[in-house]
Amino acid sequence: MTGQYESLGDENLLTLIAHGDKEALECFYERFSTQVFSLARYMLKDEAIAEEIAQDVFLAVWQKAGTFKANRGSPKGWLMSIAHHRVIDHVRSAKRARASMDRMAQEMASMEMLYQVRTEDEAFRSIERQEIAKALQTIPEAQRTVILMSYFQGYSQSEIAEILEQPLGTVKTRIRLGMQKLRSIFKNEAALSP
Amino acid sequence: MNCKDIEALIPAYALDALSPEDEQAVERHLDECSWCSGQARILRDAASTLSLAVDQEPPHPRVLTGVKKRIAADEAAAETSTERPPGRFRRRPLSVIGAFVYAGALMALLLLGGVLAFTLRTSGQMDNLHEANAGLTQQVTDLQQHNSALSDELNSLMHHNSEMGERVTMLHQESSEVNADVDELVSGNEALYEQVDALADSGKEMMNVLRTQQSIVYMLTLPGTHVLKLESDSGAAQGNLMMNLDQRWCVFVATGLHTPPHNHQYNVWLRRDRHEYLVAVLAIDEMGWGQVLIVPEMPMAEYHWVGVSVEPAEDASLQGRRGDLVLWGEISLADPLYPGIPRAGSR
Repeated sequence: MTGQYESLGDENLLTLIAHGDKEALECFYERFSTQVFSLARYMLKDEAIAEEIAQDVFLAVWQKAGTFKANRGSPKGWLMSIAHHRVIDHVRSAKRARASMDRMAQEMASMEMLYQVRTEDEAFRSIERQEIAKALQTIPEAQRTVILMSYFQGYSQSEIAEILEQPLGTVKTRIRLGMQKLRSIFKNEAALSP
Repeated sequence: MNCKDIEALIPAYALDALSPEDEQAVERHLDECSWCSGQARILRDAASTLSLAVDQEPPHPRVLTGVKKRIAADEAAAETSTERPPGRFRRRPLSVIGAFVYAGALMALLLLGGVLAFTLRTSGQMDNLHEANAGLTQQVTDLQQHNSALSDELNSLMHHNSEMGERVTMLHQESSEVNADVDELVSGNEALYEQVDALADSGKEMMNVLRTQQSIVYMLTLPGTHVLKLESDSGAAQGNLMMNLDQRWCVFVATGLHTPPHNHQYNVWLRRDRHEYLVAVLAIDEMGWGQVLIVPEMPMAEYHWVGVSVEPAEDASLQGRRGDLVLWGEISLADPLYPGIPRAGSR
């Protein structure tokens, strides 16, 4: 890949991709494939399927780059939205024993790992992760739970209400308040982005 | 749905936690409303940042290879679909005559091609101009589209502005209602304060009465206390004069008295050497009960008569007793240490 692409912004890369520039796609892939693949692998707990999803996502970028609207979000936000959608579709289509409390407990324990900063862990040495983990720690537990359940486990707000045996309005409020806090914390999102 | 409804859904939309119906409704609105789109953008970006919270590991190189292969396969499939049907230009062996005919035709074509090339060369500039013109036309079209998009955005902003204006008006109205409620509460509170003050005053009065009653009871139980029962015309009014042992003071208690006429009061008199002295004003309650402490200038043994009369409230002391007597009695305290039973009688 030539260095000229690396100096381009994400939006410019998408414009070139929309005009059929494969090197631009490759550059875009280099920038974001780790984030896409890691999210898919975490949510699906299956490396092979995560690779398939990552392929689907970047093929979709190739095919739909022309539909990107800057007023809807940043290129990264758009890409991660596609990736998240794909993963959730896969999660929801799979048969899941949602009623199993053991499974729930396991998943919750898994999520707890997300926001516990473990500096001895090599993976946690990235500045972004530490910042995000700290940000999640500042959110009240009830709000953090519904955000993690919806984003990382693909539950809709109605499903969360059912699982947690809480009124739907309560879940909506928790999501709203939690996201407002995340928004204010991630205000300087550029500092966290790779 | 209006902006307010959508705003409530955007956080869950950013997390992909909405039902498909709600998600579609939000996306329809975002297409039309730039303000809500801005909100969605911010929350989408915040949500995408969450994905960095998991272990970050690059995918195997085969993923990129797979993407490239699939793109190549897509392109090949697209090209195949636009190719001409096979067999249309199938080759056949040429004869000698045929070869001459083809050669002649080829020469003619080359000649014709030369003429055409010359013509095209001269008309090339025209083509360039046409191309430039088409480019400009395209730019104008693009600008018109951009203008239209900006106009839509402006309309959307104006629409949103109008909604915000309505909300502000509504908030103002709610605020004034709340202010009115607060005013009402304040006035209610003031009324309550007045009641509390009145109750406190009443309480003080009650305490005074109780203390007096306590004093009276205490006095009645003291040995040597002298009680003089007064007389009246009607019998309904009753009065007792309780004198203490050293005769320095006494308590007068009356009951059954009528409320005095307007601007009138009950005066208590003591008589000594044919002179009557106003020693107290007796206030009564609505039950006709009243009591007053009398501290005369001289010891009680110096006085021989007590009376209560109704007098005008003003200057009664200057004018002396003129009103009707309602209670009266003679005081007889020859030996204050061993007081006899006093005689009641003459006015």
